[in-house]
Amino acid sequence: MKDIVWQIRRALRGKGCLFSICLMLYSLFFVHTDAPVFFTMPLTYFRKDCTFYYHFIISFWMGLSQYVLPIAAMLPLAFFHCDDAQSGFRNLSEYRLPRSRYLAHRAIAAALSAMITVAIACAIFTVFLLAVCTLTGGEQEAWLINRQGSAFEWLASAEHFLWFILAQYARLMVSAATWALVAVAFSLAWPNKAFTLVATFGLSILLDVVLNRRLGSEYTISVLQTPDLNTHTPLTVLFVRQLAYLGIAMIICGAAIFFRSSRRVIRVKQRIGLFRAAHFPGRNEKTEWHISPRICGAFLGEILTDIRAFLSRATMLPAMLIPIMVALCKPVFQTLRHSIGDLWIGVFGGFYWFEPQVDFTPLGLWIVLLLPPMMGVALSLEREFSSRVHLTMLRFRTRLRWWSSKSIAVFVYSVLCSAVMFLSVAVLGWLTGADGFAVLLEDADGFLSPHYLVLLQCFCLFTGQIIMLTQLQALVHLAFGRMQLGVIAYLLPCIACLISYSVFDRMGNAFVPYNWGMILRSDIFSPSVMVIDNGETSPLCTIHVGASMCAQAGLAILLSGIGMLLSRVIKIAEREVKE
Amino acid sequence: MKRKTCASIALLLTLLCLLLTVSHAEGFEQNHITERLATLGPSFMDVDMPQPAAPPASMDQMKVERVRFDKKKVRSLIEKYGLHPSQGESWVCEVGSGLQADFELIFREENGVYGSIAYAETSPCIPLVRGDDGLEKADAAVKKFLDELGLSYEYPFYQVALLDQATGDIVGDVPLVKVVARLMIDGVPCNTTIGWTRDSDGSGNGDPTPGAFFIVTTAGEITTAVIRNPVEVVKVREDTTPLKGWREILDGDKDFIMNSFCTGDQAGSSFTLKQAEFVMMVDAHQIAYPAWAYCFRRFMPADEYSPEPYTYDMMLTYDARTGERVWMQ
Repeated sequence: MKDIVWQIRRALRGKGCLFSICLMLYSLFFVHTDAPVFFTMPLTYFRKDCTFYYHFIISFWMGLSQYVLPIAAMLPLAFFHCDDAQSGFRNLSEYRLPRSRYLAHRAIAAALSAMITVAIACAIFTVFLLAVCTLTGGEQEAWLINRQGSAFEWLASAEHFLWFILAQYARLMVSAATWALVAVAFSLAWPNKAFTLVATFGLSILLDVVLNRRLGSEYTISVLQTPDLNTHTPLTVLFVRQLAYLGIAMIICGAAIFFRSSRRVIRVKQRIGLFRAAHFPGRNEKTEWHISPRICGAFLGEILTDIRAFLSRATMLPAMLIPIMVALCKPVFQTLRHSIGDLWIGVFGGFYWFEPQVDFTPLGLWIVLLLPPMMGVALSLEREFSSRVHLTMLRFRTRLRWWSSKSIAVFVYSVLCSAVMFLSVAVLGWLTGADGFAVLLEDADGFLSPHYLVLLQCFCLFTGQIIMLTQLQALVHLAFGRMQLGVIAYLLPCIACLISYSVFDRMGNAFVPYNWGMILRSDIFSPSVMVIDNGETSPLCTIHVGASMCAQAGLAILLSGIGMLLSRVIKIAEREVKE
Repeated sequence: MKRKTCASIALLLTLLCLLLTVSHAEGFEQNHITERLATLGPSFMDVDMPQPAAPPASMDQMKVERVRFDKKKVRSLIEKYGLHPSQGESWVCEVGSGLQADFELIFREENGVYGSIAYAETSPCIPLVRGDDGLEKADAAVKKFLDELGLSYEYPFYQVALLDQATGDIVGDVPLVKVVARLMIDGVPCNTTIGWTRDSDGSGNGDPTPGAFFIVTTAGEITTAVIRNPVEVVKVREDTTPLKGWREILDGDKDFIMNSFCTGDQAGSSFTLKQAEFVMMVDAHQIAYPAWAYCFRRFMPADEYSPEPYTYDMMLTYDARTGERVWMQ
């Protein structure tokens, strides 16, 4: 027990907890960010006309918790195994505790600290609302009155609102514990922070899509943590479902702990290792990719060495598997006749503009699709910024040259990663009987005819998007020296912009960089005008493919350039090296 | 002598009757199909319908364009053939409105005082019953209305029938007649439903196949007129892709139908094909394509939700070139 309490204290004092609280607060304030007055006069915004009840409900129900909560749950302590394995603390702790207890204590502490962190963030937000909003007028509040007849009828009243708040806290805390345990299980499978983050976040989105398709929305974890306010399913039933997911996460985490700590399992692993070594002696020999002696020591040689470091099984395997998973979830895969080109457009083309309601399923799948390159860059840069930095930097003449090599390697890796992603979807299409490569588009006469150029444009736009985002991630990673911040810079603005700037008739949305990578939002697939009354036309939001490519290239170069300038200023080798 | 003549005439008449009966029976045999197509446990799929007309071997691709109505002309026609509003009623007449982009005309009473119709028809053809004054007046009013609009349509209309009283579609004492008119493309009538193909736009709108739906009083006054995407052919491109027959398409998809609709909770339900028609449809790119529309009468056994067995009409539509399912309702 003491050990668990000590670990919780460790979590709550760490920076991860602070990040987590900030993320949760951002998620809760997110819905208000589309009102300019929120930024200019926030107190007036919260006080004027609207009650505490209104602000509380829209903040929790229209926030980003679906995407933010899995990340916020991981940050406080779920990476403990990655940290302890890397620093060697795990081996030291085995003198004091059996490995199974050591892991179990920390897993429990990770779940509890995730719950506490989320509760703290929610409490801070609620106290803020209580301080600035009015509590009067609850009887006339439409957001409460409209709950009549639903499962929220009793809770959604001014009289019982305290229970409404506590119930919502409880739901979010249970979800946080679930994702923290899942993250612990992943980190036990492979003690690597980038992998744990990507696997948990990706699973949260894919699980939502699959559960929604198979069982219905009221079985998805994201809906269970903020149930539909008009639901007729009793809230206790929904809560029991949440607890069932928590139970499943506990079982999975328990199994992972067992496999990590059971002596019998370790013995079996050792035997398998010995058997392999005896019968397949050459198996563990690495295939070396030798650089020509002519370019060894030259800048080209340095770049090739960096590119080689980026291309490993760990960075390329997700690029092969994740697009296949996404493709299987896409409607285009279910249509009777489709070509490989249709699959590419369906998977890598993004999604149409919203009109105007946000559709979270394609958005979630798009975010999942962007994860493999992010993970590859996070893994490679994390290794570069570790204690290796002292050795590798010496090989380069200047810090600028060192970072330029990394920046170019990130660029090349992004292109290769994108190519592998396209290739894996093509293989899936070929195996499932896709019909050719062509995409049918209207020709000059308005008839459908096969087109191929659009596939190249799709590849360029998607790759450009990845390059842009990975350059931003690398820049943030360089600036702050933290992999988690790089990942958050890659993901969070992307999610927020795709929710806030995706409406089809706001022309300014075409200038948002996060929309540039989607060919389905280009003038090839999205009409640029809409016919309104009297035959008049109204312009619609579309992106121009050529202009988008140029803008992506420009932004990527700009980010890379800022990184190079920063590399001259930041004293990387003098930073505290994370162990 | 007289007796012989009478006997001869009687014999001739008998032979004539026999001949007529036999020939009619043969004709019925040739023009009506009755057979079982598939079974799955207690469920089955039967065919019990007249032989559909053979489609052409192939059909050119046709690019169509929306016919834009002249607002003044449509309003004057509504004035002429429409029911004159009474106090307290709220009428809407939208011509070429951007709010409902698939429709060129929507004229109706907003509160449903004069009934309401779905803008898709899944039931088989119900031809006009000659001799019924109310139905004939309704039929004539719609015919004149469409003639003056200058649209190409199939006549006799696909359906001219009283709205079902049991559904509460009749308000007060005014009997209402539903008229479903099929607009034509290249001499082939359009389907009575929209399609749902991968070319449908991202907002979920289906492919807007042309169609005209009316509710008319038995005095011949139009109370509802909905015309979806009236089109004319603007370009034609040769296409020699052979069209599939109704039988070939149904054979190819019957296993899917049985496995999707006759298993689990729906085990024991059955399908009887009452009509298969070769029709035209229009996709989201405004390209007309040929299709087969199948009207099934579906039998549903009693279950926990419905204590009595019941039947309803269901329509499945397939692209006649590719055999792909494009609509299911």
